[in-house]
Amino acid sequence: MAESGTRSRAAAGIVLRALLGFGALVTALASFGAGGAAHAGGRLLATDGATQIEGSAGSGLVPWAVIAGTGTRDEIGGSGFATGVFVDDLRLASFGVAAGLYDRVELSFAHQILEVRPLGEDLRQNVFGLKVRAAGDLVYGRWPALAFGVQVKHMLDFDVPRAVGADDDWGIDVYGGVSRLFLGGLFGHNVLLNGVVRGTRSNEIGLLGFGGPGRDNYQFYFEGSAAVFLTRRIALGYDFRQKSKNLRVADEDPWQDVFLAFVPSRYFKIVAAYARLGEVAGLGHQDGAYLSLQGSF
Amino acid sequence: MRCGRDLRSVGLSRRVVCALLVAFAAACASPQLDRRPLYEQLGGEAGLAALVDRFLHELARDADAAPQFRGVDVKRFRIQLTLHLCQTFDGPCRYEGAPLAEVHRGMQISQREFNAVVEDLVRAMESLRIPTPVQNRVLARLAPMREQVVGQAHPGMGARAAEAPGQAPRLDEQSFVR
Repeated sequence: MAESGTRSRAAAGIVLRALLGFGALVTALASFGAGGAAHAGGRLLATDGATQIEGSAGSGLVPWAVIAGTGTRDEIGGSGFATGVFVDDLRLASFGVAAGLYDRVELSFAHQILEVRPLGEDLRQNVFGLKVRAAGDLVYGRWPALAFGVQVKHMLDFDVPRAVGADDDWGIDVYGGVSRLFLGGLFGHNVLLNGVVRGTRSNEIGLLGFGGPGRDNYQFYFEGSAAVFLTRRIALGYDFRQKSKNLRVADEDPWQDVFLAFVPSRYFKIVAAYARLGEVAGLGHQDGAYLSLQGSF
Repeated sequence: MRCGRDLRSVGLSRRVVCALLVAFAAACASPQLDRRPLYEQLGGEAGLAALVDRFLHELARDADAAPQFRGVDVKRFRIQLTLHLCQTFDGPCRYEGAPLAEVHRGMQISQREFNAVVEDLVRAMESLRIPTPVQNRVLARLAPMREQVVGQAHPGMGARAAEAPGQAPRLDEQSFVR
């Protein structure tokens, strides 16, 4: 009884924090966007993706080669998001904002809080992102969208990562990705395919620090997403993210999720997913729910 | 132990593959993929006329798109658009108007304006309850034409230049009440 009470309170705490963060960010965005909104909004429905867990435009776990916000090449757009992941022993809240400049450059910031319930510890991290769409387009023209990006990560609570053998409390991920929407690609339904290669030293995307005794240099890993638009506004998809194994004491598994995205308007999206994170921080079989809200202009 | 855990951690991808296979199978088992010409899937002459009609209504109401159509001869535009779409969708028509790039020359259509027109077309198809796969085929046929439409900067003998403004009926709600 007491256990489940604590558990639901903890969950409520994370949800509350994520929602408060989201509310504050959307308010900030709205006031910032009031001027910009007149100029943005030209992009096709859902072609800006949602926001992935580190704050870049993408799906649940993986960035896409698209720029956040609804702006075209003549416009400035932006987005704000709040995400909660609720697996067996962990809760992850992530929220942040992104600006999209002329459908070319994306600047993003995300704050993550990982609550490790068995330890009673919160691990917090800031992620600053930069992404450039180098060539191509998600929908039009002969070539798929090609983008390159960096995510600069700074771990704010380094005691636990240090204890499990991480070397650094900060790190830089670099990645390159290709995305394309195939109109009528699967039995007449639109299909999105996305592939990313990421170079990183991070442990559990940085929430357990960077580097470690197992391996300390940059390694390259694959990430991918596939989604089918069942209707104009509902997409069913899958994310896969391969991860490093730098730590000896805590094993690391690939992360996956199956998501259902609902896009009631170009200004708002809801993504619900079943996430499978495997072993995280020595805690096995971390499966559960993923919920993300996003506003864009 | 380790092996079992690894297997379980990739179990989802296997389940997803299974789900996809089932989806494929379901789609294959469901009524044969419609292989008729797109024109017929849209309901032939009557269907296309209804679509163009609905589309023009959406255009006229769209603050982003409508300004580019100001001064356009709606009757002529309706006929040329219908012929062009009919031919593009493999219907029994021949579009003999100017090439798209020429028609749009000098209009400096932005990506925003182009996207707005695409969304108007989607809204028109949605309001006519055209099935999503047919809508997507329509879009897939039209998408490659974007390069001929967007950003045609050089002034030339566009269709618009041929019409003296004010002479032609204006594109507004009233123009479409038949």
